[in-house]
Amino acid sequence: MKGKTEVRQGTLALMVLKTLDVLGRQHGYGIARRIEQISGDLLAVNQGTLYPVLLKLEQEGTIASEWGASEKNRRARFYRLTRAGRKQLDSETREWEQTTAIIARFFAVKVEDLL
Amino acid sequence: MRFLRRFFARVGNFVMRRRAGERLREEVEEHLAMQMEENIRAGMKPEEARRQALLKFGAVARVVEEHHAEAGLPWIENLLRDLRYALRQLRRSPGYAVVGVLTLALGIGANSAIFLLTWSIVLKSLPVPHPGQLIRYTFRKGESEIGLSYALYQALEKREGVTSGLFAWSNSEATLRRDGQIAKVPIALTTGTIFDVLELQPAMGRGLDPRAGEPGAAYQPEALLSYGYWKTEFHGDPSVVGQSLNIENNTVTVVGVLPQGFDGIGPEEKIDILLPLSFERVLHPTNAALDMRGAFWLAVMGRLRPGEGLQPAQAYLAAIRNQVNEDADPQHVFLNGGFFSSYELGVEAGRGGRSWLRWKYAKPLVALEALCGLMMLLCSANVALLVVSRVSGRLREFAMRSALGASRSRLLAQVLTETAVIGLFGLIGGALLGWQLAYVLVRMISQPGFSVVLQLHAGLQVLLFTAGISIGAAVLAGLWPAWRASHAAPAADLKQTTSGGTVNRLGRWIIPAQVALGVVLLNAALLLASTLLTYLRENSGFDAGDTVLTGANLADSGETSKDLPARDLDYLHQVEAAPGARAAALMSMAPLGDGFSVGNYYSRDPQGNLHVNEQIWPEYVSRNYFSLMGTRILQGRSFNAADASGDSVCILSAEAAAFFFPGKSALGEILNAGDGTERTTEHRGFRVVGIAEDARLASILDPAPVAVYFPIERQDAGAFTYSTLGVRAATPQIAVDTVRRIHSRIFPGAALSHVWLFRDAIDYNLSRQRLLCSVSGGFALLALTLIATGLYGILSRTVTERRREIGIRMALGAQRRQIVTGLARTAALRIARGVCIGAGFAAMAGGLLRSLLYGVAPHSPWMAMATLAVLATVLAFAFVFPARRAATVQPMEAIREE
Repeated sequence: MKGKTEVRQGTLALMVLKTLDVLGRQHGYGIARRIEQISGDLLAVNQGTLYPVLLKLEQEGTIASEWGASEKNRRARFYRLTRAGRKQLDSETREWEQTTAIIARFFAVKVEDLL
Repeated sequence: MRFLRRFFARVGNFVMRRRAGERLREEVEEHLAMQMEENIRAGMKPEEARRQALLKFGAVARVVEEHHAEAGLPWIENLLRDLRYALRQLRRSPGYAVVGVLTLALGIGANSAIFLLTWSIVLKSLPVPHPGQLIRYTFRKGESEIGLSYALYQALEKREGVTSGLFAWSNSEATLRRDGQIAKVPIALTTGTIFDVLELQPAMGRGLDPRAGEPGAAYQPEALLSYGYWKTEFHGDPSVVGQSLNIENNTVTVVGVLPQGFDGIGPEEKIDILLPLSFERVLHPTNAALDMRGAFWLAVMGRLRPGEGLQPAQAYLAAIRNQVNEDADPQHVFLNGGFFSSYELGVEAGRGGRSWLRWKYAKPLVALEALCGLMMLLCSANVALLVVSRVSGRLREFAMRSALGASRSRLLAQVLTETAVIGLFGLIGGALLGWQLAYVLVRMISQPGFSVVLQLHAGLQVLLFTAGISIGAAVLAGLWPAWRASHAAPAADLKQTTSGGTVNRLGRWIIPAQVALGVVLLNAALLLASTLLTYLRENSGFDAGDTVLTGANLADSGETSKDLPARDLDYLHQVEAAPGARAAALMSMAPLGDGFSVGNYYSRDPQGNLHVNEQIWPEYVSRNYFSLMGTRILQGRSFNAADASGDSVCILSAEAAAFFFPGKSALGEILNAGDGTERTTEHRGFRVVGIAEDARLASILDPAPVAVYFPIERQDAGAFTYSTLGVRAATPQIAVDTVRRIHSRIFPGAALSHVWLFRDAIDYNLSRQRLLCSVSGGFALLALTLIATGLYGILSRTVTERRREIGIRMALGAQRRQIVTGLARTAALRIARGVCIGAGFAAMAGGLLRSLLYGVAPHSPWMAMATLAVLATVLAFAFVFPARRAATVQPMEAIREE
């Protein structure tokens, strides 16, 4: 899709974890909205693609889910971060920061600096 | 960790058939409802809100599918579905399935049989710890190997150097008397050190005394039972340790049971009882090999010290070899200038133990393995053809599925599954067939009249090998067709009623490849068959196929040697007089047997020149020997009754006559025993009364030895404790029954130990050639069948595919002859290409087979022509039927068909 950035599954998973970390317990629609808001509609997330990712994360044990009542008092499935998930998020955040820092430094270098 | 956790969750879902679909549907509904509400809040109409929500969510079906794929193990689900489909397909066309399975089963069967043999004979290690550290001493002259003398063993043991220990071993047979029954059991004599060297842990009791057998050490009457013998004959009774056995009328105490799996030091050994080496003095009280420096009867093995290798061991042996020979034979009678000085002591890897079978069959088996590989390729090619012609018949189906959205990998997987199913059945059939075939082959290489048989061990390795080649064959056979199916082009393949010559295209490769393989296999088979025929046709100096030979060791029955000659003659006369017996004779040594002895003889010509030959084969025979064995008397006469007393006489073989009395008739001349020097004490003279044709006494494969025959009836011939009697009767069975009856009457204490047909002895001599000939012949037959059916299949398929084209050409005026010629030209070109490639490889194969051939050149043009003739005949048959079908195409029908 032109004009929008392709999202790799791993990145999407990280976004899900971060969202749950910030918002706490949240249902699928809430997560999708949040990601949409933060990324400013830049990411070409067909909202539906979120669900296989949620399933994968749950199978890995980084998130857990249960049925609950939504704000409008309707039945909805809520996801939350598990302890393993939080650890996972921490380590991936660190990695991500390191990577961006390195890349940033790389781009900041001008030709004159190397001479 | 996370990966594993996820994997188990998925396996769980798959196995429990848990479906997350319901939950997902609810979640999606919820999601859409929330989005819709928000859209409505933003001012949309309800329908529009719903539509926008759906758009934003994306394709629900795809999400559900993805979700499902993440939840379970879709590839296994698909595999199961493909399997079900493949089985259904195969059931619908049983002919196709049967031919495919049979082709693979034959190839796999042949491969696994030969590999089972190769594994058991050549590759398998002794079942002892760290077999790689073992070494074996050899005593060889060129290709022929004999054992070591006990003196050599002692000399080696004194200078251990690189080894941490040695043991000596000899196989034999002994009479066991138990519960009133007499049985011959295979035994082995060994030094007590074997338990340390091989690190054998007795299953029960203890090993032999390590000092047993050493000079000076007292003979200890103790024995160990083999595990199998203990289980079958003693029902695994633990109280057997401490019991006494009567072996050769000696009381021997059982001190233990050998570990399970250890039945001897070679693959063809299966001993029942292990005894100390000093038991040899009990077996042969007067002439124990243990006390003879000239008896070369022992296998000697050792274990290298840690860190030592074979090369240091060889270097060490080279350094001490002369000293060892000196120690073992200080008088230089046998070694260092004696008769056995042309034999050299060597050392080689002992991982597989000692095996005559390996010595004899290692090379043929390697050759057969190579032929087997070619065979397997041929089988795979044929199955590939089969699958392709099937796939090309179903191309429309594949194209349809492809058009409906099936991915390439799914189509690929489906065709591969189908060949895999055929491969699996082929594997099962092949394994069963291979096992049976291996037993037939083992019977072929076993010695007639002897109980020693190769033990086949279908271990994990053999299983893996069989599975490996099956998978390889199935993949080879299925890959191309699968690729073709997965690339079914909807546009092209759906439109055509018949596909565009897929089979024809494949034939461009497969026919030449098959023909080339066939040429190699056929040529090899013809070379090997010609070798066997040469041996069979050559004059061996015998014509005695139906003669039954029987042997009994009279010494082990406690017979005293004093009146043995007389009783032996009595035995002969009774057999000769028995009703049904046509001819009978005694002989000191059975022709084509295992043993040999040589003696010194000389003649002196009128000029006083000495003609000495130290390698004369002396054979003591009774007077009907020559007529019984079919050895013709060329000059003079055979022995008669008068020869039993009076002048000493002899009959020379033609070569002996030419050697001792060159340039004149040997009849009436005198042959002397000894070497004509003062050293020999014996100077008896024998008058030559006859000259017999040269006979291959040692082996059908070896040139006839220079032989001298003496009458066995004479008192001064000496006593033979091992007597061989040959009989010919109306049928071999009558002969055997007669001999058994009379033998038990005259020698009640001794059982007839060996009974065999002379023809079987010839066959055994030729067993290597027969094995090679029959296996390669079978391969060649199979190859011809495969090539013929392959060509037939391709041509008929081509004719079917090009029916319309042929019809149009005929409608335009082409003659039937032209159609057939066209077909023939294509086929002939491809076959010619195959023959050219095959000829090159056949020449290479012939070169590799060189050492296994006899009487035929490895690149014999006659064999090449025969190969081509056979191939041409078979292929012509395969060509005729499709060609007739092409010629009888009715133009109007063919064109109208669509």
